[in-house]
Amino acid sequence: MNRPFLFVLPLMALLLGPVADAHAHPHGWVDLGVTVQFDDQSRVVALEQRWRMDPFYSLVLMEELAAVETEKSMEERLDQLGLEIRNNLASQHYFTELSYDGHSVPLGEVHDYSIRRQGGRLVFSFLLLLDEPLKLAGAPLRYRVFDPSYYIEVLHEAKDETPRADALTLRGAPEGCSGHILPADPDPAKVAMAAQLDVDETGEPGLGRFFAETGEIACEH
Amino acid sequence: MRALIGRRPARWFAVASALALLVAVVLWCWQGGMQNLMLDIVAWQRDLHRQLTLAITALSGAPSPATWAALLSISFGYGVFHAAGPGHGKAVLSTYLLSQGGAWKRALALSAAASLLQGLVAIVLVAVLVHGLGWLTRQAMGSVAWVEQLSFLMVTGLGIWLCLNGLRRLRQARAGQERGDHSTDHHVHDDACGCGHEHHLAPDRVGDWRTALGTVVAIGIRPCSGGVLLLGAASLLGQFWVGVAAVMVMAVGTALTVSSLALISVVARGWAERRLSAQSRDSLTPGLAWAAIAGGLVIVALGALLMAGGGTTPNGAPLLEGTSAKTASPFGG
Repeated sequence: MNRPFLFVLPLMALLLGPVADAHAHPHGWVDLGVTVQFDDQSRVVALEQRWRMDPFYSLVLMEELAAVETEKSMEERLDQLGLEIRNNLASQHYFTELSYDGHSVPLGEVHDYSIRRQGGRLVFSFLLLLDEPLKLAGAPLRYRVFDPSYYIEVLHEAKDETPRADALTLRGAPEGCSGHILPADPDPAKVAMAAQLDVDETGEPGLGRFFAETGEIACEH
Repeated sequence: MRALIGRRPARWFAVASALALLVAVVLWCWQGGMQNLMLDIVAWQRDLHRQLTLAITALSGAPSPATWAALLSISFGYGVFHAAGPGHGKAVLSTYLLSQGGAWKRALALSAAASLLQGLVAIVLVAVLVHGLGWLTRQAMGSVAWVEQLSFLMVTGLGIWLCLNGLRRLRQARAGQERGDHSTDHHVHDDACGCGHEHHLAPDRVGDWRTALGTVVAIGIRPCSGGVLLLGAASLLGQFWVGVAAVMVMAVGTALTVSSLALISVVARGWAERRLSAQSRDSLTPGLAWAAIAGGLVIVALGALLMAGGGTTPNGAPLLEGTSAKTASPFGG
């Protein structure tokens, strides 16, 4: 006779249990700037990225730098910090996903990383090479930069929700190439599912994925 | 007597299915059917978080009544919406109230206490670790992961405690039945009588405040890493007290949301009990004891799940993982 109650509560457990507890919303942000580099054969060779970190996180990092007890100058400390961030990002593929014609494009190494102060913010810049130069023939090249856990929101530099002109630029691109930024269009059902997965981290995690903008580079011929 | 026994399962079943339906509808609205709302909530939380960061930065630059008003109202909104998303504290609290019972006053007190405690813990953490011991803000944020594990452990412990309580109640009820009190159905539990119409809750008043306190602490001891970040950043701007004010206003906002949810649990529970109270106490008491045990099990499972999840993965993808093993945020912040 007590069984019904035993049904109710496990039902709750089933539905309430895998609640998204971690971070259903971002606790920091990065303003992103990207420059797509072409070589002299009109092939894409690298994405130069600039990450402008939010004021709080910049403060926390500056505190970190100030606390380092060395004889080093601030410039050297910034370099050291840049190295650490680069090393840690390497295991995360620099938060970058690249695809061309429906296939993912392998990424290469990172060069020329640096950190500098800009107002109250820190800007981390780096050059992310493609594993192999890529000729854009017909299909557009798409990239997304996001923190899968969505703890940090990465969006292109914008003013009033509109991406700034310098948020995505092309360097050395042949005639007829252009880049534009597609806003995120998260599917509510997928977001809900990803939010639930986050606690036990089964399946492919990545709430951040659904809120990522897509940069698109296309060349006409 | 046989007729009475024959009717019972049907009644239990009717009430329980109605309750299950209610819970399912609430959850459907919450997680499934109103996914769009959930998406909106995430967007609001995100916007509020950004505004909060900018408001504190603005306040440190040029404090004025206007910047204060902006900061406090944003903090309040942030608290309300921060709690509107799913989270283990609310799951534990609503399971607790649904399965263990409790008047609405107690539900409100529990929610408010847990929310305020959460704010206080963040403040104490920053005050002691950063101001007292000279830790970096990032390290203080890292400590959240440990406090979090403690919270999960306590949730599991609370669940076990509730199960044991339920078992004890069940044994008492059985013992009562075996004494042959069937003829005096209405006064089997003389010790619980005399406390007004609520005595059909069959509460174990002695252990009651202890489990309530345990619930509050288990939930409330876990600070929000966002709150710690806010306090740390405010400190770095030389505005620690601004941060304290913001976090406490935030906690009030959280309390508002959490108590609404708690009240829903109380109403659902009260409804089920009213349906059931028409029966004899003999049949009701074991049922409630079973409910208490089931609720305890749910809470144990929740705690274990969170421990397993939180233990294997840090909160995100640290950018500065190498500098500290206790990293709590992707940037190590």
